[in-house]
Amino acid sequence: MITVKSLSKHFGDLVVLKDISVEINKGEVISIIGPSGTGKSTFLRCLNLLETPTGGEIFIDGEPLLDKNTNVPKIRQKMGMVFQSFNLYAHLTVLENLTIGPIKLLGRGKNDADRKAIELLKLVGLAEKAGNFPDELSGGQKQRVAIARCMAMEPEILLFDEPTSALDPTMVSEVLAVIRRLAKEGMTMVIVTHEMEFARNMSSRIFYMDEGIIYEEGTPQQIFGNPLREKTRAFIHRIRSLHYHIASRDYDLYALQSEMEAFCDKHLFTKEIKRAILLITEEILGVQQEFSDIDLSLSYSEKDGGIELVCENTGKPFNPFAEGVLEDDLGVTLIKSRCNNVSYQYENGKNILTLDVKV
Amino acid sequence: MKRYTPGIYLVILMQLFGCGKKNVQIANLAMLEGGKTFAVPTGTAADQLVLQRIPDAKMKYFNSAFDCAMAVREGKADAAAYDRPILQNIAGKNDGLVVLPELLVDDRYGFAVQLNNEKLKTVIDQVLTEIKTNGIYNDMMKRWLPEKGVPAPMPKIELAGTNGVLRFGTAAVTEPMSFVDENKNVVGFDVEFATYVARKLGKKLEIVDMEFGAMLPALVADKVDMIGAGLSITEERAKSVLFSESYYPSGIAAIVKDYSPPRLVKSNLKIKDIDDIKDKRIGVVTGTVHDSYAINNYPDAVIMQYQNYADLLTALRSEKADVAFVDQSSTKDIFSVNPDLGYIVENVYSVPIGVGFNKVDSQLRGRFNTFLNEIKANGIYDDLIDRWDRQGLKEMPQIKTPNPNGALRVGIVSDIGMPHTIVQNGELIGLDVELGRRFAAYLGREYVPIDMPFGSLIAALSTRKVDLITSGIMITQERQKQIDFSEPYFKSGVSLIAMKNNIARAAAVTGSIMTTANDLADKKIGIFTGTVHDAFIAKKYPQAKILRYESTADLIMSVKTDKVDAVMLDLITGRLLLKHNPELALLTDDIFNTPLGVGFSKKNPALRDEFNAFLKEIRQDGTYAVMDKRWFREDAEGAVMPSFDYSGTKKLVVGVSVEDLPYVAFMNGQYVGFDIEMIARFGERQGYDVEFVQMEFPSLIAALAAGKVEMISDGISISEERQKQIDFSDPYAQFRTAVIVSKNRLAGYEGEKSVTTKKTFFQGVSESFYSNIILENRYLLIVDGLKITIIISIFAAIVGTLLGALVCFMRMAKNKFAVGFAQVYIVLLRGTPVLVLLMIIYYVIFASVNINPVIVAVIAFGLNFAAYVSEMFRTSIESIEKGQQEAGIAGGFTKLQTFGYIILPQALRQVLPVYKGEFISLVKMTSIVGYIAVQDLTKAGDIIRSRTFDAFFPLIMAAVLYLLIAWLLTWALGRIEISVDPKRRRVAAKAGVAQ
Repeated sequence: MITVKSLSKHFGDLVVLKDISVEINKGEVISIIGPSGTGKSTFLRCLNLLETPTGGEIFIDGEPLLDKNTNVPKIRQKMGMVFQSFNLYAHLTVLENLTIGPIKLLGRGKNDADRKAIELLKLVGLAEKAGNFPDELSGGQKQRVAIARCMAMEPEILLFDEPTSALDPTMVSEVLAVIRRLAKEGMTMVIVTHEMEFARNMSSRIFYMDEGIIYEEGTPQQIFGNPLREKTRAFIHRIRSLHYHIASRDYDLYALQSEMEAFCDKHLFTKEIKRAILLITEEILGVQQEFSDIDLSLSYSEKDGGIELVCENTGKPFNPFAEGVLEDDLGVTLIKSRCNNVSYQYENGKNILTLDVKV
Repeated sequence: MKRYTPGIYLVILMQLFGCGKKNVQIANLAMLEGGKTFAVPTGTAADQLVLQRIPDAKMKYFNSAFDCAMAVREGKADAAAYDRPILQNIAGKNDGLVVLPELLVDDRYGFAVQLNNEKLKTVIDQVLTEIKTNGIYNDMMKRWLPEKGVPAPMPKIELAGTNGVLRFGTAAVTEPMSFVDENKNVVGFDVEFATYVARKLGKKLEIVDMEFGAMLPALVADKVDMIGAGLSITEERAKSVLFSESYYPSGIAAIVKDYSPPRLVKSNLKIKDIDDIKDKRIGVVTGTVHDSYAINNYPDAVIMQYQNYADLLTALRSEKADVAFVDQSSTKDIFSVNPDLGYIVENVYSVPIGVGFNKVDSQLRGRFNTFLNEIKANGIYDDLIDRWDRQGLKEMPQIKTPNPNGALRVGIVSDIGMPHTIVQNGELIGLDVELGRRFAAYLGREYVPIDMPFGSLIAALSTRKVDLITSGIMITQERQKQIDFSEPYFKSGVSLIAMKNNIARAAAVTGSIMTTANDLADKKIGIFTGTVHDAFIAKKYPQAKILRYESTADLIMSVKTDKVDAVMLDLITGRLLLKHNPELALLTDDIFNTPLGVGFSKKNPALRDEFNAFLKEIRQDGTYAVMDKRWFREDAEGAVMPSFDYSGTKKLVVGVSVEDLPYVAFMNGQYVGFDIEMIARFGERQGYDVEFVQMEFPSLIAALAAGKVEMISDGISISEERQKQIDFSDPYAQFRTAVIVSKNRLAGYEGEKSVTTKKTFFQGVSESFYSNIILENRYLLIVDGLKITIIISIFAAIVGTLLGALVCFMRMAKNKFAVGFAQVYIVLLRGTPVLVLLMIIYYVIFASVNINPVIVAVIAFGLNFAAYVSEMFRTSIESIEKGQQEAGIAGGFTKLQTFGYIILPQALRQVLPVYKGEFISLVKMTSIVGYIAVQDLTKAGDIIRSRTFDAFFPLIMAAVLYLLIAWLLTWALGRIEISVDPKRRRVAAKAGVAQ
């Protein structure tokens, strides 16, 4: 249905979308997730030309959207958009919001349109509000009307721009319920959302957007269960991490420890855990032989509470945990006592020690 | 009862606290018995003398008699005791104190000489007898010891002094017997007496001032020959000195606080003329000629002397003095700062002002007199006087001496005041300064002003520190003894002024009453804008102030309400006005005559010649005489306009203004008047179809010049100025000017009460209603005017709104040129006053185009309205949140559709309230179309006013009608607002759903 080729979007010097190429097929429910400011909404708004791309091509049912001769409003009639701030027509009643499009654009008769509108309102559970004005509805109600308004135009595809971000949790569910229903009925939808559970359950495909591109895409199982790329993982697991680079033997241990302390405090680790981490760090560095290129990273998963310390040392293979490698294995003992698990790998010229800290 | 208890407690408390001392008036000495406190000066015999009389009195000591009296006034002592004349002097100058009539102790003053100086004592006694016989004694008593007020100054007494010196010791702190005056001279009763003694002895008088206590010792030690300072004759003292006969029966009196109501404020004194001041309190500035003048001429008055004008005026205004003598040249300034003061007599007498020269410097003086004659001959002098004195301008022309050959040192007093010398912005300017500079230039010397106090001028001249002195110095005999004066270069008048509410009738003051036209010289005169009177007054009465009015009705109002002193207008109109306004009178009718002519465009001499030929005809065949009789000689209001047949073939457009019977007026729905009849006849005879177009008088000439009319006639005076722009026919009438004033300003009408019948308010209103609306079917004028106003308003609004929408569209477009054009349009149209725009369009853009001025009005107002409307639209559109547009676009609407279905309905709701206001503004703005000869509602009111001279009713009526229109519009637009408001339509929608 929608083919996007090398889409890019700049705002002056700021590059929001670098290079995006995707296919969206009929019946798919695509959820677009990712950190804020990575161009998710921009991408969505390019699809119906609310934003004009700087480069690339978009085809809707084979029609080139960016071509001068294309009747864009006509195409838009086939695409409905649901906004974060609802954007219901303030001067029209709920019913009129639904009927204005069909009457003016699709040429329906008033009675016809009214009837259809009431049906749709029943679908979203708001038939009794037909005569009300938008400013008399709650947020969740407004959004449901917005969805009904889109449906009134009998669209082929619906675009949702963070539909629940402006709603409080009680209202979120009523809107998600409607969207779920639409998905069940086979509507093609592209949804930008922060509702991870919803995305996981309802989508046929997930786009994780970061760095101006679709950083990773896959089925919900793939993305949520086994995110391949680092940032995806970080996002999914809501991993927070601290990185520290050491370039010489004369590194500043105190600076390092102070950063780690700050990290621990920030994430509200207990004193014991903090002490453990600092000790482990000191020890693990203590058993290193070369110091010309060490990358330390301390990661914390908000999702499951796990804390992981990884030490990558470029150099000759050296595994301090192996039996008999170190003369004095006090350090190793100390480390091991405070970890659930320690592992060693040698990869790409780097000694990688992974420590799973006990919490 | 409960409510009152707090009050009662309060009263009791007040009694307890406030009334430790009861404010009881002490009326006699008996009331001072019983342990009362006396305030007495230290070092005198006062305390002893009090105790003699009141043994249980308590004493409080102060430095001087004055301090004692103040203590009494402030309640620190019950009474003060001291010599009666001194206490009387204090009581006279200070409110709140009164001297008890009964003396505590009798006392007698005497002069003292050395014990063995019988001879001197005899002389003193002789002098005393003499002056008692020849009246000087009484005079001295009156002068030095007046009941109330300040002692008069010391008279000058000549002393030949060939026989030596009489050394007179005194303590110059006992006013009024011996004290120091403002000029630091020792004066007083005793001093004057001593002078007489010295004179008798043929000696000079040497006054030795000392402490009171030192007098006796000094006499005994032969340091002085005679002592006196209110010295009491006591036995004690008589042991060491020889006293003369008592010259003043004094006594120790008691002065107490005066609780009686303060002296009745003397307002409403009703001073009519200068004779009335002979028993009043006359204020003067010490040392001026007014001082001695007042003293010499008004012996029965109380002369109040002050240090300077500021104090004098304060005294006048706070009713410490009743009248004041001031320099006439200062009065302008005085009255502008103190409008509650006015003249009793504008010029009591004049004193010549001259430049002072040292007596030995007769050559310089001669040169100055020559110089003065020169500048009087060549007009510079007149200009000088005119600028500084008459007009009161404060501009100093640049006068420099090129290559000065020495300096001319001129003594001046920099703050003497206008017009002589003042300092403005750090620069020395004034009549005397300019004169001095010119003289210096004349001499080829540099003008060097040397500033000093007035009192030092003569001294500086005598000691040759300066070459001459100026600054408004009056030439007096006294001064001429010390210095020589030039010929007078200025006359300073002396005015008598007082608080206006003390003058019998402010208007009754000479100078404000007018008798002849010459009295107009300095008045405020009202005239018609754009008439020849302007130039006339400027020339003949350059000092008069001219106020210009737009209509006769306004003129009349202004003179009735005293906004002007007199008005000038043509005699015939004037006579009509007097008929209707009995409170006005004719000052003169013989002031100014001009011929009247009909105006023609310079481009059309043929028409003018035609008209002149016509004029000749009607004069010859008697028609003119008939017209003259009908309109000018008989009552124009009763004239019947003959009917004419306006069916000529050629069109003739004639411009008129309708305020001026007998020339042009609008009565009973048609144009009437001499000019109208004349032109109508002209049209009839020459086969013209005459169309009269009516406009404001000042616009007539412009309209002729722009070709909008071919002739103009409205009793227009032929003047040179006008002849530059247009051509006139031969004169067809003479215009005589009347000067009209309020009756109570006219000499000869004084005392006459204007007879006005009292009307009830309703009577007044219904009479107004009748004369303004019903009479002569004037309401038709209003209806027509109303129609025009509404038409212009509505069409201008339509044009403006459409144009405004277009401009708004351009303003919000993507195209840079469109945006730029729109911005320029908005700035230009919002920044130009509508009246100016209107006249530019009518007189400039459409000059020589025969366009209906109503269309011009619609265009002008429409253009102006559009500028505001476009910005209103833009703001309201931009105020709709962006999401609405995005939803529309996303929903498949084109930009235009989104604007039309989504944005516009919402913007409309925002813009309507402001639009309503602007629309109403537009309606009111249309009231200016009278300027381009459109007869709208306001103009209709003006026309009626010009007939009834009733200012109130037509104006109110116009206002009410505008209000009505505004209210109607508000209501109509309100209905639209409702229909645009979606909430109102909910009812319908719900009904639909229910189906």
